[in-house]
Amino acid sequence: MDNDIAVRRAERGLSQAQLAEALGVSRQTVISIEKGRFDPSLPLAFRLAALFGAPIEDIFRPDV
Amino acid sequence: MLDSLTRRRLVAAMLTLVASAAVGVLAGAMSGRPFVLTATVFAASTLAPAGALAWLLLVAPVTVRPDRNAGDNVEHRWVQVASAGAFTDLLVVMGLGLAVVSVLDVALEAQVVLLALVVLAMGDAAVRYVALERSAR
Repeated sequence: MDNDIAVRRAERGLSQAQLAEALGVSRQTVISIEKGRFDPSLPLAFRLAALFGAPIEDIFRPDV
Repeated sequence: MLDSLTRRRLVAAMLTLVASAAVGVLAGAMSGRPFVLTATVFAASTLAPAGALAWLLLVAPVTVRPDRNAGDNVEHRWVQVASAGAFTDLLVVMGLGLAVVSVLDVALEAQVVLLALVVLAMGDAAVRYVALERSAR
């Protein structure tokens, strides 16, 4: 899945490690999600959405 | 006065030594081979897994916090994928091995076969995990 997490994270001045800590996951998990190599679980997607204050469908877009 | 964690570590270390020695003595007494050599080899081989088990049962409960989000990590996915791949490989190897052994009517020693399968499964899963980790960089 494509996503704009890296952009949203940069806008908030967060490092990958800080975002990972806020989400309760490893930094490698954030890296893999940003690269589109790992689709997060639904609970993690909801935590991301809550953290960025945006609906899940605005953050993630399915690959076409 | 020792604190609780130190006491747990000491008990774990003692249990490790006792369990290893017990396995060594048992193996030495049952094998029919030179007692001291067999007991030493078995005790030394048991030391690491017994230590890990003792740490897991006695020390880890007070030093490791449960991670509620462990399943959300990409590393968790890698473990699952690596394990599933290793299991498939193991089935293929066992199936092909069984066919070859059946056709050739060869009798293999169970210890050797089981050891080979354990090493294959663990090595396969480890290699697959490392490959997944490297591909994610």
